[in-house]
Amino acid sequence: MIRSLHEKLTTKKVSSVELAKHYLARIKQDKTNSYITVTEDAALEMARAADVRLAGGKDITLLTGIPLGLKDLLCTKGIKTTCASKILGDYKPPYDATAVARLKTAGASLLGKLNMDEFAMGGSNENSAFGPVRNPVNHDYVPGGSSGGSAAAVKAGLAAATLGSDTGGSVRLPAAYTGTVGLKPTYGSVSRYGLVAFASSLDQIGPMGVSSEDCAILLSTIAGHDACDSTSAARPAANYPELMKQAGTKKYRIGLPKEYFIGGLQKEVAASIEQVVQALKKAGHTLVDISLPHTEYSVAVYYVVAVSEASSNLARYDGVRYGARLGGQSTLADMYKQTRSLFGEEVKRRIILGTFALSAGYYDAYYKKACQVRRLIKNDFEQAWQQVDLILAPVSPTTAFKLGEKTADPLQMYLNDIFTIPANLAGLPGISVPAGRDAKGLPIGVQFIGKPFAEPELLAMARFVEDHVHREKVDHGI
Amino acid sequence: MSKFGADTVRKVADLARLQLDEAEVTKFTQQVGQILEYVEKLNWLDTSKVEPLMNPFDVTTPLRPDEVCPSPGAEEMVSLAADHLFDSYKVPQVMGGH
Repeated sequence: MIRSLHEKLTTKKVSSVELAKHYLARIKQDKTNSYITVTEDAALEMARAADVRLAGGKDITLLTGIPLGLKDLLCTKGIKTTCASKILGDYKPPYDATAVARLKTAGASLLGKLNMDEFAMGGSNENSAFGPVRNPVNHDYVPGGSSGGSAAAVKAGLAAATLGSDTGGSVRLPAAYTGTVGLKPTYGSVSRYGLVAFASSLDQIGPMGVSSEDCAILLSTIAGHDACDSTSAARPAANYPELMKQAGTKKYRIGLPKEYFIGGLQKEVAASIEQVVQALKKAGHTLVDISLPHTEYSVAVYYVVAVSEASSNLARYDGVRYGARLGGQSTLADMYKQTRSLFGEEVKRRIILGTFALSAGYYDAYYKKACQVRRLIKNDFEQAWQQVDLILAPVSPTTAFKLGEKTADPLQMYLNDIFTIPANLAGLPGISVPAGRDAKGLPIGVQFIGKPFAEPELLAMARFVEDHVHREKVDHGI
Repeated sequence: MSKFGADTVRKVADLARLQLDEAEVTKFTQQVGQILEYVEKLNWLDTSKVEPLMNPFDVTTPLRPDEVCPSPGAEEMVSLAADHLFDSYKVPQVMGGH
Protein backbone atom coordinates (compact mmCIF):
# COMPACT_ATOMS: atom_id res chain seq x y z
CA MET A 1 0.00 0.00 0.00
CA ILE A 2 2.64 2.56 1.05
CA ARG A 3 4.85 1.94 -1.99
CA SER A 4 1.94 2.19 -4.41
CA LEU A 5 0.75 5.43 -2.77
CA HIS A 6 4.34 6.71 -2.89
CA GLU A 7 4.46 6.01 -6.62
CA LYS A 8 1.16 7.84 -7.13
CA LEU A 9 2.57 10.79 -5.20
CA THR A 10 5.89 10.95 -7.02
CA THR A 11 4.27 10.58 -10.45
CA LYS A 12 1.79 13.37 -9.53
CA LYS A 13 -1.24 11.10 -9.95
CA VAL A 14 -2.36 12.30 -6.55
CA SER A 15 -1.19 14.97 -4.12
CA SER A 16 -0.54 14.50 -0.40
CA VAL A 17 -3.42 16.83 0.38
CA GLU A 18 -5.78 14.82 -1.83
CA LEU A 19 -4.60 11.63 -0.17
CA ALA A 20 -5.12 13.07 3.32
CA LYS A 21 -8.58 14.36 2.34
CA HIS A 22 -9.46 10.94 0.93
CA TYR A 23 -8.67 9.21 4.22
CA LEU A 24 -10.27 11.99 6.31
CA ALA A 25 -13.49 11.57 4.30
CA ARG A 26 -13.42 7.82 4.94
CA ILE A 27 -12.87 8.44 8.67
CA LYS A 28 -16.04 10.59 8.72
CA GLN A 29 -18.01 7.56 7.46
CA ASP A 30 -16.36 5.17 9.93
CA LYS A 31 -18.62 2.69 11.74
CA THR A 32 -15.85 0.91 13.68
CA ASN A 33 -15.08 3.66 16.24
CA SER A 34 -11.39 3.37 15.36
CA TYR A 35 -10.41 6.96 16.09
CA ILE A 36 -10.49 8.81 19.40
CA THR A 37 -9.14 12.07 17.96
CA VAL A 38 -9.03 13.10 14.31
CA THR A 39 -6.48 15.83 13.64
CA GLU A 40 -7.84 17.12 10.37
CA ASP A 41 -6.12 20.51 10.41
CA ALA A 42 -2.74 19.12 11.44
CA ALA A 43 -3.00 16.32 8.87
CA LEU A 44 -3.72 18.77 6.06
CA GLU A 45 -0.92 21.06 7.18
CA MET A 46 1.52 18.14 7.16
CA ALA A 47 0.19 17.06 3.76
CA ARG A 48 0.72 20.55 2.35
CA ALA A 49 4.30 20.50 3.62
CA ALA A 50 4.76 17.06 2.05
CA ASP A 51 3.51 18.37 -1.29
CA VAL A 52 6.10 21.17 -1.15
CA ARG A 53 8.75 18.58 -0.40
CA LEU A 54 7.61 16.32 -3.23
CA ALA A 55 7.56 19.25 -5.65
CA GLY A 56 11.10 20.20 -4.61
CA GLY A 57 12.30 16.64 -5.19
CA LYS A 58 14.56 16.68 -2.15
CA ASP A 59 14.50 14.59 1.05
CA ILE A 60 11.64 12.48 -0.23
CA THR A 61 11.11 9.27 1.74
CA LEU A 62 8.67 6.43 1.17
CA LEU A 63 6.52 8.00 3.90
CA THR A 64 6.47 11.55 2.57
CA GLY A 65 2.82 12.47 2.16
CA ILE A 66 1.53 9.10 3.39
CA PRO A 67 -1.46 9.41 5.80
CA LEU A 68 -0.88 7.40 8.96
CA GLY A 69 -2.70 6.80 12.26
CA LEU A 70 -1.21 6.46 15.72
CA LYS A 71 -2.37 4.43 18.71
CA ASP A 72 -3.47 6.93 21.33
CA LEU A 73 -0.68 6.10 23.77
CA LEU A 74 2.01 7.64 21.61
CA CYS A 75 2.69 11.17 22.79
CA THR A 76 1.94 13.83 20.20
CA LYS A 77 2.97 17.39 20.97
CA GLY A 78 -0.06 19.58 21.53
CA ILE A 79 -2.46 16.82 20.44
CA LYS A 80 -4.59 14.88 22.91
CA THR A 81 -3.05 11.59 24.02
CA THR A 82 -5.72 9.89 26.10
CA CYS A 83 -4.62 6.24 26.38
CA ALA A 84 -8.39 5.67 26.03
CA SER A 85 -8.71 6.74 29.66
CA LYS A 86 -10.78 9.41 31.36
CA ILE A 87 -7.78 10.18 33.53
CA LEU A 88 -5.88 11.49 30.48
CA GLY A 89 -9.02 12.64 28.64
CA ASP A 90 -7.70 16.14 27.95
CA TYR A 91 -3.97 15.51 28.22
CA LYS A 92 -1.87 17.25 25.57
CA PRO A 93 1.77 16.16 25.82
CA PRO A 94 4.49 18.81 25.59
CA TYR A 95 6.61 16.60 23.31
CA ASP A 96 6.45 13.97 20.56
CA ALA A 97 7.34 10.33 21.11
CA THR A 98 10.56 9.49 19.26
CA ALA A 99 8.67 7.20 16.86
CA VAL A 100 6.21 10.01 16.12
CA ALA A 101 8.99 12.57 15.66
CA ARG A 102 10.69 10.23 13.18
CA LEU A 103 7.48 9.76 11.17
CA LYS A 104 7.07 13.54 11.05
CA THR A 105 10.67 13.99 9.92
CA ALA A 106 10.02 11.45 7.15
CA GLY A 107 7.14 13.64 6.00
CA ALA A 108 4.13 11.48 6.91
CA SER A 109 0.72 13.13 7.42
CA LEU A 110 -0.72 12.11 10.78
CA LEU A 111 -4.49 11.69 10.62
CA GLY A 112 -5.21 11.23 14.30
CA LYS A 113 -5.12 9.06 17.39
CA LEU A 114 -6.52 5.56 17.40
CA ASN A 115 -8.76 3.81 19.89
CA MET A 116 -7.35 1.12 22.15
CA ASP A 117 -7.95 -0.69 25.42
CA GLU A 118 -7.40 1.74 28.29
CA PHE A 119 -3.65 1.94 28.98
CA ALA A 120 -3.27 -0.98 26.53
CA MET A 121 -4.85 -3.35 29.03
CA GLY A 122 -7.02 -5.79 27.16
CA GLY A 123 -7.26 -8.17 24.26
CA SER A 124 -10.55 -7.12 22.72
CA ASN A 125 -10.60 -3.30 22.65
CA GLU A 126 -13.71 -3.33 24.83
CA ASN A 127 -11.93 -1.53 27.70
CA SER A 128 -11.89 1.93 26.17
CA ALA A 129 -13.41 4.97 27.86
CA PHE A 130 -14.37 6.02 24.33
CA GLY A 131 -16.36 2.87 23.55
CA PRO A 132 -15.36 -0.40 21.95
CA VAL A 133 -13.90 -0.75 18.47
CA ARG A 134 -15.72 -3.03 16.05
CA ASN A 135 -14.04 -5.45 13.70
CA PRO A 136 -14.33 -4.06 10.15
CA VAL A 137 -14.69 -7.61 8.80
CA ASN A 138 -17.83 -8.17 10.90
CA HIS A 139 -19.11 -5.48 13.24
CA ASP A 140 -20.50 -8.01 15.74
CA TYR A 141 -16.97 -9.15 16.51
CA VAL A 142 -14.10 -7.57 18.43
CA PRO A 143 -11.03 -6.41 16.48
CA GLY A 144 -8.71 -7.75 19.19
CA GLY A 145 -6.69 -5.55 21.47
CA SER A 146 -5.18 -3.61 22.73
CA SER A 147 -4.24 -1.93 19.41
CA GLY A 148 -7.76 -2.57 18.07
CA GLY A 149 -8.17 0.88 16.54
CA SER A 150 -4.78 0.63 14.82
CA ALA A 151 -5.74 -2.71 13.24
CA ALA A 152 -9.31 -1.75 12.35
CA ALA A 153 -8.17 1.51 10.75
CA VAL A 154 -5.78 -0.37 8.46
CA LYS A 155 -8.43 -2.91 7.48
CA ALA A 156 -11.21 -0.37 6.99
CA GLY A 157 -9.00 1.99 4.99
CA LEU A 158 -9.00 4.78 7.59
CA ALA A 159 -5.20 5.18 7.36
CA ALA A 160 -2.63 3.84 4.93
CA ALA A 161 -0.84 2.20 7.88
CA THR A 162 -0.62 2.69 11.63
CA LEU A 163 1.48 2.25 14.74
CA GLY A 164 0.34 0.12 17.67
CA SER A 165 2.09 -1.21 20.73
CA ASP A 166 2.55 -4.77 21.93
CA THR A 167 3.02 -5.72 25.60
CA GLY A 168 1.58 -9.24 25.49
CA GLY A 169 0.30 -9.50 21.93
CA SER A 170 -1.44 -6.16 21.45
CA VAL A 171 -0.18 -5.68 17.90
CA ARG A 172 -0.23 -9.31 16.74
CA LEU A 173 -3.65 -10.30 18.12
CA PRO A 174 -5.64 -7.46 16.51
CA ALA A 175 -3.67 -7.97 13.29
CA ALA A 176 -4.78 -11.62 13.29
CA TYR A 177 -8.43 -10.79 14.10
CA THR A 178 -8.72 -8.15 11.38
CA GLY A 179 -6.67 -9.73 8.58
CA THR A 180 -3.81 -7.24 8.71
CA VAL A 181 -0.06 -7.57 9.29
CA GLY A 182 1.39 -6.59 12.67
CA LEU A 183 4.99 -6.71 13.81
CA LYS A 184 6.19 -6.67 17.41
CA PRO A 185 9.87 -5.75 17.13
CA THR A 186 12.64 -7.03 19.37
CA TYR A 187 12.61 -5.34 22.79
CA GLY A 188 14.83 -2.28 22.40
CA SER A 189 14.46 -1.99 18.59
CA VAL A 190 12.06 0.94 18.73
CA SER A 191 12.48 3.67 21.30
CA ARG A 192 9.81 3.72 24.01
CA TYR A 193 10.39 7.43 24.64
CA GLY A 194 6.95 9.01 24.58
CA LEU A 195 5.14 5.68 24.61
CA VAL A 196 2.92 5.89 27.70
CA ALA A 197 4.21 3.06 29.88
CA PHE A 198 2.16 0.00 30.75
CA ALA A 199 4.80 -2.66 31.51
CA SER A 200 8.22 -1.23 30.76
CA SER A 201 10.12 -4.51 30.39
CA LEU A 202 7.59 -5.77 27.83
CA ASP A 203 6.25 -2.78 25.86
CA GLN A 204 7.30 -2.28 22.23
CA ILE A 205 5.88 -0.01 19.55
CA GLY A 206 5.03 -1.97 16.41
CA PRO A 207 3.98 -1.19 12.83
CA MET A 208 0.66 -2.39 11.40
CA GLY A 209 -0.27 -2.45 7.75
CA VAL A 210 -2.01 -4.27 4.95
CA SER A 211 1.27 -5.95 3.98
CA SER A 212 4.61 -7.09 5.31
CA GLU A 213 6.31 -4.46 3.18
CA ASP A 214 4.30 -1.67 4.80
CA CYS A 215 5.47 -2.87 8.19
CA ALA A 216 9.06 -2.98 6.90
CA ILE A 217 8.82 0.60 5.61
CA LEU A 218 7.44 1.89 8.90
CA LEU A 219 10.02 -0.04 10.92
CA SER A 220 12.87 1.47 8.88
CA THR A 221 11.73 4.89 10.01
CA ILE A 222 10.91 4.26 13.67
CA ALA A 223 13.67 1.79 14.66
CA GLY A 224 17.23 2.68 15.61
CA HIS A 225 18.98 3.86 18.73
CA ASP A 226 17.56 6.70 20.79
CA ALA A 227 19.44 8.21 23.71
CA CYS A 228 16.11 9.15 25.33
CA ASP A 229 15.30 5.47 26.07
CA SER A 230 17.86 3.74 28.27
CA THR A 231 16.70 0.33 27.00
CA SER A 232 17.06 1.32 23.34
CA ALA A 233 19.38 -1.10 21.51
CA ALA A 234 22.65 0.40 20.28
CA ARG A 235 21.83 -0.32 16.65
CA PRO A 236 21.41 2.09 13.77
CA ALA A 237 18.26 2.36 11.65
CA ALA A 238 18.16 -0.13 8.78
CA ASN A 239 16.54 -0.55 5.37
CA TYR A 240 14.08 -3.31 6.26
CA PRO A 241 12.40 -3.59 2.82
CA GLU A 242 15.84 -4.36 1.39
CA LEU A 243 16.86 -6.63 4.29
CA MET A 244 13.61 -8.61 4.04
CA LYS A 245 14.20 -9.11 0.32
CA GLN A 246 17.66 -10.54 1.04
CA ALA A 247 16.30 -12.69 3.87
CA GLY A 248 13.65 -14.03 1.50
CA THR A 249 16.28 -15.69 -0.67
CA LYS A 250 17.50 -18.01 2.10
CA LYS A 251 16.25 -21.37 3.34
CA TYR A 252 15.41 -21.71 7.01
CA ARG A 253 14.93 -24.31 9.68
CA ILE A 254 11.54 -23.50 11.14
CA GLY A 255 10.36 -24.90 14.47
CA LEU A 256 6.84 -25.99 15.32
CA PRO A 257 6.57 -25.94 19.14
CA LYS A 258 4.41 -28.84 20.25
CA GLU A 259 3.08 -26.84 23.23
CA TYR A 260 1.39 -24.41 20.81
CA PHE A 261 -0.67 -27.12 19.13
CA ILE A 262 -2.86 -28.20 22.00
CA GLY A 263 -6.53 -28.84 22.64
CA GLY A 264 -8.62 -25.71 22.28
CA LEU A 265 -6.93 -24.68 19.05
CA GLN A 266 -9.69 -23.94 16.54
CA LYS A 267 -9.55 -26.52 13.72
CA GLU A 268 -9.45 -23.89 11.02
CA VAL A 269 -6.52 -22.14 12.74
CA ALA A 270 -4.63 -25.45 12.83
CA ALA A 271 -5.53 -26.06 9.17
CA SER A 272 -4.16 -22.66 8.15
CA ILE A 273 -0.88 -23.38 9.90
CA GLU A 274 -0.73 -26.72 8.09
CA GLN A 275 -1.19 -24.93 4.77
CA VAL A 276 1.70 -22.63 5.64
CA VAL A 277 3.81 -25.64 6.68
CA GLN A 278 3.18 -27.40 3.36
CA ALA A 279 3.98 -24.27 1.36
CA LEU A 280 7.21 -23.74 3.31
CA LYS A 281 8.27 -27.36 2.76
CA LYS A 282 7.53 -27.10 -0.93
CA ALA A 283 9.73 -24.02 -1.10
CA GLY A 284 12.64 -25.92 0.42
CA HIS A 285 12.48 -24.83 4.06
CA THR A 286 12.92 -27.45 6.76
CA LEU A 287 10.21 -27.85 9.39
CA VAL A 288 11.32 -29.20 12.76
CA ASP A 289 9.24 -30.29 15.75
CA ILE A 290 10.52 -28.50 18.83
CA SER A 291 9.53 -28.06 22.46
CA LEU A 292 9.14 -24.89 24.53
CA PRO A 293 8.34 -26.71 27.75
CA HIS A 294 7.48 -23.72 29.94
CA THR A 295 4.88 -22.25 27.57
CA GLU A 296 1.99 -23.21 29.84
CA TYR A 297 3.37 -20.92 32.56
CA SER A 298 3.62 -17.85 30.35
CA VAL A 299 0.16 -16.43 31.09
CA ALA A 300 0.73 -16.80 34.84
CA VAL A 301 4.14 -15.12 34.59
CA TYR A 302 2.77 -12.34 32.43
CA TYR A 303 -0.17 -11.55 34.69
CA VAL A 304 2.20 -11.09 37.60
CA VAL A 305 5.04 -9.24 35.83
CA ALA A 306 2.89 -6.98 33.62
CA VAL A 307 0.48 -5.98 36.39
CA SER A 308 3.31 -5.37 38.86
CA GLU A 309 5.04 -3.03 36.43
CA ALA A 310 1.69 -1.45 35.57
CA SER A 311 0.77 -0.78 39.19
CA SER A 312 4.08 1.03 39.58
CA ASN A 313 3.87 2.91 36.26
CA LEU A 314 0.29 4.02 36.85
CA ALA A 315 1.10 5.44 40.29
CA ARG A 316 2.02 8.64 38.43
CA TYR A 317 -1.64 9.40 37.72
CA ASP A 318 -2.31 11.26 40.91
CA GLY A 319 -3.95 14.45 39.66
CA VAL A 320 -0.93 16.58 40.60
CA ARG A 321 1.29 17.12 37.55
CA TYR A 322 -0.88 16.36 34.52
CA GLY A 323 -4.09 14.62 33.57
CA ALA A 324 -7.45 14.99 35.25
CA ARG A 325 -7.92 15.98 38.90
CA LEU A 326 -10.99 15.28 41.01
CA GLY A 327 -11.57 16.32 44.62
CA GLY A 328 -9.27 19.30 44.56
CA GLN A 329 -11.06 20.94 47.51
CA SER A 330 -10.51 18.13 50.03
CA THR A 331 -7.23 16.65 51.28
CA LEU A 332 -4.34 15.40 49.18
CA ALA A 333 -5.12 11.75 50.03
CA ASP A 334 -8.77 12.18 49.03
CA MET A 335 -7.76 13.92 45.83
CA TYR A 336 -5.53 10.99 44.89
CA LYS A 337 -8.36 8.53 45.42
CA GLN A 338 -11.04 10.53 43.70
CA THR A 339 -8.80 11.25 40.73
CA ARG A 340 -7.83 7.61 40.38
CA SER A 341 -11.49 6.56 40.43
CA LEU A 342 -11.41 7.73 36.80
CA PHE A 343 -9.56 4.52 35.88
CA GLY A 344 -11.76 1.90 34.21
CA GLU A 345 -12.50 -1.49 35.72
CA GLU A 346 -9.78 -3.49 33.96
CA VAL A 347 -7.12 -0.96 34.93
CA LYS A 348 -8.24 -0.99 38.57
CA ARG A 349 -8.27 -4.79 38.59
CA ARG A 350 -4.70 -4.91 37.32
CA ILE A 351 -3.51 -2.23 39.74
CA ILE A 352 -5.02 -4.25 42.62
CA LEU A 353 -3.34 -7.44 41.39
CA GLY A 354 0.01 -5.73 40.78
CA THR A 355 0.03 -3.84 44.07
CA PHE A 356 -0.73 -7.09 45.87
CA ALA A 357 2.05 -8.97 44.02
CA LEU A 358 4.56 -6.30 45.04
CA SER A 359 3.32 -5.81 48.61
CA ALA A 360 5.31 -6.70 51.71
CA GLY A 361 5.25 -10.42 52.35
CA TYR A 362 4.15 -11.37 48.84
CA TYR A 363 6.94 -9.97 46.65
CA ASP A 364 9.03 -13.15 46.69
CA ALA A 365 6.05 -15.44 46.28
CA TYR A 366 4.66 -13.62 43.27
CA TYR A 367 6.91 -11.08 41.55
CA LYS A 368 10.25 -12.75 42.15
CA LYS A 369 8.84 -16.20 41.42
CA ALA A 370 7.32 -14.96 38.15
CA CYS A 371 10.63 -13.38 37.14
CA GLN A 372 12.41 -16.68 37.80
CA VAL A 373 9.97 -18.56 35.58
CA ARG A 374 10.36 -15.77 33.03
CA ARG A 375 14.02 -16.76 32.76
CA LEU A 376 13.02 -20.40 32.19
CA ILE A 377 10.74 -19.28 29.35
CA LYS A 378 13.58 -17.27 27.83
CA ASN A 379 15.92 -20.26 28.23
CA ASP A 380 13.41 -22.42 26.31
CA PHE A 381 13.79 -20.13 23.33
CA GLU A 382 17.58 -20.12 23.62
CA GLN A 383 17.50 -23.91 23.51
CA ALA A 384 15.21 -23.79 20.50
CA TRP A 385 17.61 -21.50 18.62
CA GLN A 386 20.18 -24.33 18.78
CA GLN A 387 17.85 -26.29 16.50
CA VAL A 388 15.97 -23.76 14.39
CA ASP A 389 16.19 -20.26 12.91
CA LEU A 390 12.54 -19.30 13.30
CA ILE A 391 9.38 -20.52 14.99
CA LEU A 392 5.94 -20.85 13.38
CA ALA A 393 2.91 -20.76 15.66
CA PRO A 394 -0.70 -19.66 15.92
CA VAL A 395 -1.32 -16.08 17.07
CA SER A 396 -4.39 -16.99 19.05
CA PRO A 397 -6.25 -20.24 19.78
CA THR A 398 -9.31 -18.95 17.90
CA THR A 399 -10.43 -16.30 15.46
CA ALA A 400 -12.18 -13.14 16.74
CA PHE A 401 -15.01 -13.51 19.26
CA LYS A 402 -18.20 -11.51 19.63
CA LEU A 403 -18.36 -8.25 21.54
CA GLY A 404 -19.30 -8.92 25.16
CA GLU A 405 -18.56 -12.65 24.91
CA LYS A 406 -15.60 -12.69 27.30
CA THR A 407 -15.95 -9.50 29.32
CA ALA A 408 -17.42 -11.22 32.40
CA ASP A 409 -14.46 -13.58 32.83
CA PRO A 410 -11.09 -11.79 32.88
CA LEU A 411 -9.09 -15.01 33.29
CA GLN A 412 -10.59 -16.49 30.09
CA MET A 413 -9.74 -13.27 28.30
CA TYR A 414 -6.14 -13.46 29.62
CA LEU A 415 -5.71 -17.09 28.50
CA ASN A 416 -6.34 -15.96 24.95
CA ASP A 417 -2.86 -14.37 24.99
CA ILE A 418 -0.98 -17.64 25.56
CA PHE A 419 0.72 -17.75 22.13
CA THR A 420 1.76 -14.10 21.98
CA ILE A 421 2.98 -13.52 25.55
CA PRO A 422 6.15 -15.69 25.42
CA ALA A 423 7.81 -13.46 22.79
CA ASN A 424 7.29 -10.40 25.02
CA LEU A 425 8.63 -12.17 28.10
CA ALA A 426 11.77 -13.18 26.17
CA GLY A 427 12.06 -9.83 24.32
CA LEU A 428 11.82 -11.53 20.92
CA PRO A 429 10.32 -10.20 17.70
CA GLY A 430 7.08 -11.70 16.38
CA ILE A 431 4.92 -11.05 13.35
CA SER A 432 1.30 -11.86 12.66
CA VAL A 433 0.26 -12.34 9.03
CA PRO A 434 -3.13 -13.35 7.60
CA ALA A 435 -3.21 -16.97 6.40
CA GLY A 436 -6.88 -17.54 5.57
CA ARG A 437 -10.45 -17.16 6.78
CA ASP A 438 -12.61 -19.44 8.91
CA ALA A 439 -16.12 -20.71 8.04
CA LYS A 440 -17.65 -17.52 9.45
CA GLY A 441 -15.42 -15.46 7.17
CA LEU A 442 -13.25 -14.23 10.05
CA PRO A 443 -9.51 -13.77 9.40
CA ILE A 444 -6.94 -16.26 10.68
CA GLY A 445 -3.44 -15.08 11.53
CA VAL A 446 -0.25 -17.08 11.83
CA GLN A 447 2.79 -16.00 13.77
CA PHE A 448 6.51 -16.22 13.19
CA ILE A 449 8.82 -15.65 16.17
CA GLY A 450 12.52 -14.99 15.66
CA LYS A 451 15.83 -14.52 17.45
CA PRO A 452 16.60 -11.03 18.73
CA PHE A 453 16.75 -8.60 15.79
CA ALA A 454 15.52 -11.19 13.26
CA GLU A 455 12.93 -8.71 11.94
CA PRO A 456 14.16 -9.12 8.32
CA GLU A 457 13.58 -12.88 8.47
CA LEU A 458 10.13 -12.45 10.05
CA LEU A 459 9.12 -9.93 7.41
CA ALA A 460 10.41 -12.29 4.70
CA MET A 461 8.31 -15.12 6.12
CA ALA A 462 5.24 -12.89 6.23
CA ARG A 463 5.88 -11.97 2.59
CA PHE A 464 6.16 -15.69 1.82
CA VAL A 465 2.71 -16.33 3.33
CA GLU A 466 1.28 -13.40 1.36
CA ASP A 467 2.78 -14.72 -1.88
CA HIS A 468 2.15 -18.44 -1.47
CA VAL A 469 -0.71 -19.02 0.98
CA HIS A 470 -3.15 -16.17 1.37
CA ARG A 471 -3.47 -12.51 0.56
CA GLU A 472 -6.24 -10.48 2.17
CA LYS A 473 -8.19 -8.21 -0.12
CA VAL A 474 -7.34 -4.56 0.38
CA ASP A 475 -9.72 -1.75 -0.46
CA HIS A 476 -8.81 1.72 0.65
CA GLY A 477 -10.78 3.15 -2.27
CA ILE A 478 -7.71 4.53 -3.97
CA MET B 1 0.30 -18.72 48.91
CA SER B 2 -2.21 -16.43 50.48
CA LYS B 3 -5.75 -15.90 51.54
CA PHE B 4 -7.11 -13.26 49.24
CA GLY B 5 -10.29 -11.88 50.78
CA ALA B 6 -12.29 -8.67 50.76
CA ASP B 7 -10.11 -7.18 53.52
CA THR B 8 -7.01 -7.73 51.39
CA VAL B 9 -8.67 -6.00 48.45
CA ARG B 10 -9.56 -3.03 50.67
CA LYS B 11 -6.02 -2.85 52.08
CA VAL B 12 -4.37 -3.14 48.66
CA ALA B 13 -6.78 -0.57 47.19
CA ASP B 14 -5.77 1.80 49.98
CA LEU B 15 -2.06 1.21 49.23
CA ALA B 16 -2.74 1.91 45.56
CA ARG B 17 -4.86 4.99 46.40
CA LEU B 18 -7.90 3.50 44.73
CA GLN B 19 -11.41 4.18 45.94
CA LEU B 20 -13.59 1.10 45.50
CA ASP B 21 -17.27 0.72 46.26
CA GLU B 22 -18.53 -2.46 47.91
CA ALA B 23 -19.70 -3.95 44.61
CA GLU B 24 -16.18 -3.50 43.21
CA VAL B 25 -14.66 -5.02 46.36
CA THR B 26 -16.87 -8.09 45.95
CA LYS B 27 -16.14 -8.41 42.25
CA PHE B 28 -12.37 -7.92 42.55
CA THR B 29 -12.15 -10.31 45.50
CA GLN B 30 -13.64 -13.04 43.35
CA GLN B 31 -11.82 -12.18 40.10
CA VAL B 32 -8.37 -11.39 41.47
CA GLY B 33 -8.67 -14.40 43.77
CA GLN B 34 -9.35 -16.58 40.74
CA ILE B 35 -6.36 -15.13 38.88
CA LEU B 36 -4.09 -15.69 41.90
CA GLU B 37 -5.33 -19.27 42.12
CA TYR B 38 -4.32 -19.73 38.48
CA VAL B 39 -0.92 -18.13 39.16
CA GLU B 40 -0.30 -20.74 41.87
CA LYS B 41 0.79 -23.08 39.07
CA LEU B 42 4.17 -21.30 39.13
CA ASN B 43 4.81 -23.21 42.36
CA TRP B 44 4.86 -26.48 40.44
CA LEU B 45 8.33 -25.44 39.32
CA ASP B 46 11.45 -25.56 41.46
CA THR B 47 13.14 -22.22 40.79
CA SER B 48 15.44 -22.20 43.82
CA LYS B 49 18.52 -22.03 41.57
CA VAL B 50 17.07 -19.68 38.93
CA GLU B 51 18.14 -16.06 38.78
CA PRO B 52 15.09 -13.76 38.30
CA LEU B 53 14.84 -12.09 34.90
CA MET B 54 13.51 -8.55 35.26
CA ASN B 55 14.36 -7.34 31.76
CA PRO B 56 14.62 -9.49 28.62
CA PHE B 57 18.23 -8.61 27.94
CA ASP B 58 19.61 -8.12 31.46
CA VAL B 59 20.52 -4.56 30.53
CA THR B 60 22.83 -2.46 32.59
CA THR B 61 22.18 1.24 32.95
CA PRO B 62 23.86 3.02 30.03
CA LEU B 63 25.87 6.09 30.89
CA ARG B 64 26.31 9.27 28.87
CA PRO B 65 28.55 12.31 29.24
CA ASP B 66 27.27 14.68 31.91
CA GLU B 67 26.30 17.44 29.47
CA VAL B 68 23.36 19.78 29.76
CA CYS B 69 20.71 19.13 27.06
CA PRO B 70 17.72 21.31 26.21
CA SER B 71 14.49 20.39 27.98
CA PRO B 72 11.11 22.04 28.45
CA GLY B 73 11.06 24.80 31.03
CA ALA B 74 9.31 24.54 34.40
CA GLU B 75 6.58 26.94 33.31
CA GLU B 76 5.63 24.74 30.37
CA MET B 77 5.57 21.62 32.52
CA VAL B 78 3.50 23.04 35.37
CA SER B 79 1.03 24.49 32.88
CA LEU B 80 -0.10 20.89 32.30
CA ALA B 81 -1.25 20.59 35.91
CA ALA B 82 -4.85 21.05 37.05
CA ASP B 83 -3.63 23.77 39.42
CA HIS B 84 -0.33 25.56 39.84
CA LEU B 85 1.15 28.68 41.35
CA PHE B 86 4.07 30.29 39.48
CA ASP B 87 6.25 27.29 38.62
CA SER B 88 5.06 25.05 41.45
CA TYR B 89 2.28 22.48 41.61
CA LYS B 90 -0.61 23.40 43.85
CA VAL B 91 -2.37 20.63 45.76
CA PRO B 92 -5.01 20.43 48.51
CA GLN B 93 -3.96 20.34 52.17
CA VAL B 94 -1.68 17.43 52.97
CA MET B 95 -2.56 17.03 56.66
CA GLY B 96 -5.96 15.78 57.72
CA GLY B 97 -5.99 12.78 55.42
CA HIS B 98 -4.39 9.47 56.11
